[in-house]
Amino acid sequence: MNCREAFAKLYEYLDKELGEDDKKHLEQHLEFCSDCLKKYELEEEFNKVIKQKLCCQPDVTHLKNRIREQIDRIDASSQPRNILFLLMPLLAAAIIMLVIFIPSGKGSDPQAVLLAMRPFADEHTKCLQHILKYDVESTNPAVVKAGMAQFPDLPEELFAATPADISIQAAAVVHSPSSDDVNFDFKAFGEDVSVFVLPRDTVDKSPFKKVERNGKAFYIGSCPFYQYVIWACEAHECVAVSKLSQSQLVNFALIF
Amino acid sequence: MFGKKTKSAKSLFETEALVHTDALYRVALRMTKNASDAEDLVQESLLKAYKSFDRFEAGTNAKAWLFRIMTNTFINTYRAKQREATSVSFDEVDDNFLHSQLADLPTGTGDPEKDFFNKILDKDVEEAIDKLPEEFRVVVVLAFYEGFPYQEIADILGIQVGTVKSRLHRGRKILQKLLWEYARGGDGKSKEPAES
Repeated sequence: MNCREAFAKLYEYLDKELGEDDKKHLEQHLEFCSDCLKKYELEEEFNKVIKQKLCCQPDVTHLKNRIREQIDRIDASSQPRNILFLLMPLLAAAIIMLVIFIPSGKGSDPQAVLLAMRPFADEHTKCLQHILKYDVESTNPAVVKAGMAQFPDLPEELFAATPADISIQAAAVVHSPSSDDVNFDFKAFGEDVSVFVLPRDTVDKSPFKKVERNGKAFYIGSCPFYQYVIWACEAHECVAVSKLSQSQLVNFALIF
Repeated sequence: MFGKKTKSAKSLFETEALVHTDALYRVALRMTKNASDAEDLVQESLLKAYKSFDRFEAGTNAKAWLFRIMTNTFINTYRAKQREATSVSFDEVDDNFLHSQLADLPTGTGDPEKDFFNKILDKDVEEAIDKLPEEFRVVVVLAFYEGFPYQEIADILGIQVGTVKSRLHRGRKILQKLLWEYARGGDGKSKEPAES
């Protein structure tokens, strides 16, 4: 091992992340190279000093109590809504059947497809309200707005919505392991898009139909409203609901 | 799954999750750089954790799981509010920066290394960390405050281990440069008192 190689491994050694072989080679090098040893000792000391100075024990008693109170509130309010929630998969399944079968029954007349599905608008609202209650990351309009601000391609109207509208229009902020993944494919959805990103387990609990297109997995059907299709991305642990234009929707309904 | 939690689930949450509140808060404070946002971030994260606590498997790493939730929450909500303001250029910090600075000092005046470390104040370290660009800051804080191994940091942030390594490496170098400037009374030093 030469000095350059040794220096490259210094931090891993310091952080105890080096494999046995590398560790042995580095230690051998440090035994003979006083220059590298000096550098190592400096880094070691720096590490130690920083850790010491960061060692603070904040008093979080008050915060903990606040959280405990919130937890009690969650527990108290979650019970009665369960029955409705259990009904949602059935409802959604029924709508999916309609979405899928109506087009074939009526031929390929787009207007007929849309008209047949229009009455379910109320169900859509209810469905979203359920999602809002249980699964979204936050329903606070300010938080939602902040989350939505990460999608510069979204139409302005979303941000202009009143708080009451936001609960329907922009349901959730994003749940994704990495910020880089968040914008994965939204641009492909076209201009008329609103995005709801839900935790993956919402998808798992729902009677979604999984479809693979162009190497991507889509799940369709959860929100029983004609204009919405659920897009899920397994790798990213998140789901977007996109609002489709009428022609996109008709194509979608006809394809599936 | 949204049913009322049993008493034992609640006490399990207490011992598996709430016990990490101080650790979460410490890190949240460096993420948000502000006490009230940090409290909100921790609270929001723990409540999310509670809502999905029945999916948490007992015996697995609760701490890493909580930090993952918190990091996601931070990235997705709080970060949007922040504007990164850094007064120091971090383009290239020489790997040997600190070593060569110390070596360049005139000899014969005590122990320059010891002097340097003695001059670093607790609040300097916090202030310097707050100046790190976010991608380095979060990795540095998880490694330094909580001592998470590289792999766990990678899992928490959803990035590669190699990325953790390089961010930590650069983070350390930037910190060294900033703290060196602080100790020398240089331009990097902010005159405002550190927030806490």
